[in-house]
Amino acid sequence: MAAGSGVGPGPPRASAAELQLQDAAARLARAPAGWSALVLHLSRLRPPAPRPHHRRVARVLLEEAGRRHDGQVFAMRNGDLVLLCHGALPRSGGETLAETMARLLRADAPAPEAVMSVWGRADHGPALLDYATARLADGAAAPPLPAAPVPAAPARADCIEAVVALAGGGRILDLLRRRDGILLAALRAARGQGGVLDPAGGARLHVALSLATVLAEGFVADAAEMALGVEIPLIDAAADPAGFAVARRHLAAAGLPLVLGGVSPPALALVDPGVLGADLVKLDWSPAMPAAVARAVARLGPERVLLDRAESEAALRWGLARGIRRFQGAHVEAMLAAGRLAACAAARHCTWRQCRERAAIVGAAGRGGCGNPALLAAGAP
Amino acid sequence: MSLTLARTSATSGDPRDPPDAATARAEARQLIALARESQASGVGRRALVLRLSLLAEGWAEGRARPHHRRLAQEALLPLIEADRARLFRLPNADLAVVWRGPAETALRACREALRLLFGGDTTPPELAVVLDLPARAARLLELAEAGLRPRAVAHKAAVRAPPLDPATLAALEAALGQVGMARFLRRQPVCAPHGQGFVRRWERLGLAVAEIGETMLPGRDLLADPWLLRRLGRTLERRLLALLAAPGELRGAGPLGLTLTTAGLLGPEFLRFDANLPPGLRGEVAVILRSADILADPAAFLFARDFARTRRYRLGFAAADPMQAALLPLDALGLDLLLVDWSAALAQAAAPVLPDAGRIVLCGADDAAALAWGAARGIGLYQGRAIRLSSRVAP
Repeated sequence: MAAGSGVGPGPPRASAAELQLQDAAARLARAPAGWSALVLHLSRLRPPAPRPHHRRVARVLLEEAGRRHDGQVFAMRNGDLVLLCHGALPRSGGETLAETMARLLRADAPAPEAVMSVWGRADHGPALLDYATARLADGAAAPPLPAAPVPAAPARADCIEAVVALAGGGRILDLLRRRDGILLAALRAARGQGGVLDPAGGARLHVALSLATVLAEGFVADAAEMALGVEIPLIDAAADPAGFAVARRHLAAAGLPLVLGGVSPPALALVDPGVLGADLVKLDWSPAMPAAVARAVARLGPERVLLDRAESEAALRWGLARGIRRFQGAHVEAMLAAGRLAACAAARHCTWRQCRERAAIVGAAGRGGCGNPALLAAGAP
Repeated sequence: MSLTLARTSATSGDPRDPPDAATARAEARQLIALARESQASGVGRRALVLRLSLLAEGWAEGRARPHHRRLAQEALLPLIEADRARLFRLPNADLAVVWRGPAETALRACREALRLLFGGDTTPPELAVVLDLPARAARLLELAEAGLRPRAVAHKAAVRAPPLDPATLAALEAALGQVGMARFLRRQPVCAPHGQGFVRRWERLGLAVAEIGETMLPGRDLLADPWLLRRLGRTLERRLLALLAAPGELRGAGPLGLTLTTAGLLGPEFLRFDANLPPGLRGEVAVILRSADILADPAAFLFARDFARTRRYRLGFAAADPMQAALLPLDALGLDLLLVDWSAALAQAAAPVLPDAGRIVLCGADDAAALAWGAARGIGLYQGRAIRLSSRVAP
């Protein structure tokens, strides 16, 4: 039913489907009503979308609707999909196909009208023709659909699977343990050298570790000696909430804070992090924060939330408006560096960039050139 | 501390060592018989059950190691050495001492030793249970029956096969391509109470991973590395879906449940399975998801969930334990069913942690205690060995 997207590597060239759509649109531009078109502008989804599953599933749903209602699906080189059919758009289960697609895409496209066009009135013909003409003129092609499913997202589990190839004969768990071991050894080595790990250093260092490392014998004593804060990713905590509870009790007994990390906005809408009882929940900022996330922040208490990846003024403003007072990210680092430069008497020859880069280094070695290491370690004037 | 366990049942070697599987099963059966006999005869006894299995379930594995078991057994010595006392070592690592006559001093000494060994607020409150028989014989029977189920942790420690490594996994995956999967397909009935027995509502279909391992890679522990197991699981899930999508494979099949990953639910194999689903099964298939897949990629999960709903699949969440069920509430996930394993921790979970009883499937219902707990809560669906036993009665 569907015309193939039929595009391989090589110079961009209009696909058969695009030429067919152009022909059909030209015919319909002259025709009265009695047809309808659904255009899924998947190319307009915010990266990492559109992902292969968006295209795969949308295509199946459109093709099935096309089969049942004498329609045709056209796959554009940029990843968009167009369903053209006689009469009105098909309905199923009490909703139109456009409503179904809006529901499926709501996590990726909170404003569905931005990624979907529904045309069918007599005066819509030119819009469809313009769209088809624009696709013919397109230079860029989306990669063809892979035959085998690819690891979906920059998800932690997939990253670890990708490491399988690098690990050779080793075991993945050993690899994770080794990563944590290297990190802790580096921190131990950095102690007593005037870096942030010094008792006079001011801000407490939080370290992201796997739950297995935190539960290992001797870890808590070690961490207490370095006064570390511990961050455990949500996916680890959710896999073993009982283990997380044990880690929390041990760390609390040693007076160390426990942070629940890796909480993306959609994940926060799915979980009740209050169950885990972490001291802080580290929430990733995203330009599209669903309303459910604001509600979850209020439920948890904004004083227990740290807004991570605060890379912009908008992130800060969103957080401050919801009572959040802890931020992490490039924007915050930039503001802190600016504050330090303004307050520092020894900053005459320092650039803003140098101050930021030095602050990101834990050990004293990388902080050379700073005339006011105490202020640098404290973070803020 | 000297040890004489002459009064324990016949064992060989150091009696402080964990018993072998056959001995432990025999001791569990003897304890069951004793509890029943106590109920029938009304003879007064007392029992102390040290539920080390709780530590394995809800606690860091650290304290459930063999030498801790040995220390725990030593803590029970004053009672074990009392007159007319007997020790039972159960397959799930629980220990039970049953005695007749006064032994208050010995009991106090045991409690003190246990407090020193396990003390602190991190210990499950039900760790050491003292029961007066025959009044509490039913509870002892429950615990003894539960004790017959060997603990996963104990099993893992006993296997000691070399773990799977990436190179072997790659070879296994290549070899799997040449092997028909149909012989590894297993079905487990999910049943609802009906009169005095149970009636089958649907079946969970899945590939028997352990058997695949035994057949294809004898002497390797497939379960030792969770990340590699996860990858193998994805390969097997694609094979399972391809198998079920074959023409005629599901002709005449009843309602079923499939445990899938998010990636599997959005993959080409599932779309093919969906396209070939017999019309009679539309709306009769449950797709069951797990926490790691949901949280690894929440955006994909939401898309997959809404897609599955559009295609009229029922959706379930398989929680590893009640805490996971509380962390990922069904309503927030937007799913229909909670599948949760029967465990002591579940029995102790506060009611608000769980959704409506009508939305729960009690899995691992292998004994009367699980069924009794489920019935008391009005749970409508069960899966486990105890069901199959009574399914003869119905429909």
